[in-house]
Amino acid sequence: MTVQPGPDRIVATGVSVRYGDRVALQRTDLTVDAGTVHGIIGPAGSGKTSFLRTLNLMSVELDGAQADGSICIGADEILSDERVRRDPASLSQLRRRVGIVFATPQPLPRSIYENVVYGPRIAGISDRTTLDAIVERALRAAHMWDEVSDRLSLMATRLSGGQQQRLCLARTLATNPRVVLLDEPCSGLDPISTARIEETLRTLKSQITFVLVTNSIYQAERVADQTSFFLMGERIETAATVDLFARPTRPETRDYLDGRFG
Amino acid sequence: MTATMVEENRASVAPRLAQQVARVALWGATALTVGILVFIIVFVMRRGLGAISWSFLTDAPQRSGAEGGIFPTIVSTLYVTLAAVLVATPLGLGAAIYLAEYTTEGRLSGIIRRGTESLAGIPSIIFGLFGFAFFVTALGMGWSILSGGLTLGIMILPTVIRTSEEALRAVPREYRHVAQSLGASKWDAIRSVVLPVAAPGVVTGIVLGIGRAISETAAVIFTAGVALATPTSPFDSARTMSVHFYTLTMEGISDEQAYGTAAVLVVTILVINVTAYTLMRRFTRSLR
Amino acid sequence: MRDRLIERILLLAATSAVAMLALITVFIFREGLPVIFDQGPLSFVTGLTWAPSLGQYGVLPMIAGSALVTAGALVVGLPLGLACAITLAEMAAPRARAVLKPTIELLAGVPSVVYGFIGMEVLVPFIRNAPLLGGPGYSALAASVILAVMVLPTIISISIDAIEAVPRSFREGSYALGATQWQTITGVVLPAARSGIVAAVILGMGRAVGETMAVIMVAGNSVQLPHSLLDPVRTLTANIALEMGYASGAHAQALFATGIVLFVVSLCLNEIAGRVRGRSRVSVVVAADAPADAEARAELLGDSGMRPSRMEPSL
Repeated sequence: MTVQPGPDRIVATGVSVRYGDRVALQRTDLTVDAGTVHGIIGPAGSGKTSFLRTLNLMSVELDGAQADGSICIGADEILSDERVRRDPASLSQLRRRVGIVFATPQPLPRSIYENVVYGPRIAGISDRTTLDAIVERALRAAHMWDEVSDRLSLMATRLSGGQQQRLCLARTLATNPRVVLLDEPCSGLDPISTARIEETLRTLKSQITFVLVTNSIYQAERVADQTSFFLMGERIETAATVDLFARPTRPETRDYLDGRFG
Repeated sequence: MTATMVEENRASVAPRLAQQVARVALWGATALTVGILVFIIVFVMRRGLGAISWSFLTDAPQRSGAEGGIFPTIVSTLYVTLAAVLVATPLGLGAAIYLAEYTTEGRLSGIIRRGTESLAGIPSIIFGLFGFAFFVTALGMGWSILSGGLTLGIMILPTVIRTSEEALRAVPREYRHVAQSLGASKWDAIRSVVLPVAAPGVVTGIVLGIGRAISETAAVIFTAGVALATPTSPFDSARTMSVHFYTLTMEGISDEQAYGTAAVLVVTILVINVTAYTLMRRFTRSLR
Repeated sequence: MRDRLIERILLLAATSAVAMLALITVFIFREGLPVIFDQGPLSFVTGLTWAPSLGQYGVLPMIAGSALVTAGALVVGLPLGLACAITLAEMAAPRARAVLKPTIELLAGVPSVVYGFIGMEVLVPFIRNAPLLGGPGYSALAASVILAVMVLPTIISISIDAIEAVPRSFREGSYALGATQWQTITGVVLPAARSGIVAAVILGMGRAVGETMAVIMVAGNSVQLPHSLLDPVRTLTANIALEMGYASGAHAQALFATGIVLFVVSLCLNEIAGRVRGRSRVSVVVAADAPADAEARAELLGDSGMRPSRMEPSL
């Protein structure tokens, strides 16, 4: 296992995302400081998920989106550099470096253990002791170890929804990412699982940069150091979370926080 | 027949009566169809099961099959079918993976799909002719297990492609995304996540193909030949159970032996179909 | 690098079916065309005499034979098959259906030699001895009846697909107007499923035209233009299979030429069925585009967006 490499800073410049004719995101700039939790809020269709899925190029590779602009993860340009997009090996590297947790829990139909070691195995780690250590570390980080340490061979699909989502977080952590993207990870989860996931974010942010798309402004308030508000494919404003909620500078943000966009 | 009767009645008689009559007629037709199947099975089994014994299955035939067992034809059937599966599985599964995972619907996939459907619509006797002209004669393989297996392999290819493609498409898209989000390449995701989930569906296709291969006669008789000895090499001519049964019947060699062979064939086919069906059910349920 | 290579290999496998089709076409035509041009294409297709020893090859009797048994098979098989499809798709309770459908599909698995055998043992003597029928028993009628049973699975399963693809709202509209189930079926469901059912019939035809062994065993196989259903007939397929064992030279080529006729007919039927069916799929998808039918549409398109969290532990 490699030494924790440390969190990456993300600098997005002029990022546009289109699906065919539909523009999901237009010319967006955003900087996420290394080692912070960055919240992204906004109504449905605001482009926040498109932005998130572009940070590890999943929108481009899997959703059929076209994306322009520049995204730097740490020192590496990933978006305008065609080589990253075209080369499976560098895509794999990117995905290990920038992990993602989806909105609905997506355990693979196999055991808890096998779910967590999927990423490391694909990366070529096959030594059993190393894998065991990775599983324990990842599950502990996701505050799940105590619940499942005695039944790691259980089918992941038989866990509760909240447990499944924490397993997915653990699975993402197991690849040693420097950035983790979370796409409304707690929608529909029980409060305990939500609290555990938020706890994980707070604990690990010294080692991992988190970008958290959330529907809940309360969640942003609880865990995000900075928060951006997206609306109709544009980033409207970004500020320290406390400031954004207390003194939004733009009228759209104020309307949203007042609950005028649902 | 019944449908038109009901149709005429509709104008004069109250719709409710028409409904009742139609109901009875439709269920009657369904019962008749199931009845035909039951009749076929009972008819073959009633006389056939009596002819089956351990020695019938393990002995070599005597006097062109008038006496003795059918052992060599069982072995031949196994070999020819195995060869067919070995041809059809890699090609069919590969094609299915390509169609389901690597191509968007376009010209290329359209051509491939239509080619596959056309291949499925070709009569088996044409496969026999082709196998004879190509494998037996042009490639000089002679009447052999190899010629028969290759011919059957091409014949069952569409079955394997279609069933496997459906199975792959039934695997939730999210699994691929999860795998790729964890650093898997597209192929890694297919190999390590999609294929294991789709496996029962793929196996169903192969099992159905095996069923077709075992029951086939027209395509194998001109490619694998009719030799009644137990084959010892892929280049030996071999008589499959179906061909043997056909010969026994048409040459009037022995009714007793014919019924016995038919019973073995029918039992085999029933087992294969039930297996395929059970696998498919388990597969679709697992994804529900 | 590895991924690219694998994609290439898979593409190669994907083209295998097309390649095989091309190979088959080339070989059948290469072997068969010389005889057709020797005889003149028209006299080959319309010739009444099939006399290999005289070098005369006319396949009209076989074309007539194939046409007759196929038509006969449809006359018997279509009403029966359609009735089964309607029962299973519209009337049967899900549980009855879950048993009946796979049972009927078993008919497709029965080897054709077994069908032929039962035809020989049961049907042929029956026709020979029955009042009003008679004749040798080995006849177009016997072949038609056997083929009717053999095409049932094709007709039934494709018709069921077509009937099920009819959006539920169509039926609900009809029931809302006070129609009975039977009126709904004849007035709404069957018309909407028409092209799918036509495709089923054409594919059934394809199966009947292409069937070999079962037909040989019951059709009598004499080369003549049949005058009645009770006459023995020889089909295109039977012509090939019966003489292939001993034919050589021009005679063997004439059998390949017979194969060309069969091959072309089969491909045409397949192509027509594909087009008719393709059209029906499109029209139903468009019809189902209303939001209320999202469910039917998802089913139709084989939407696989199921939640994996409900996966059974068996996998």
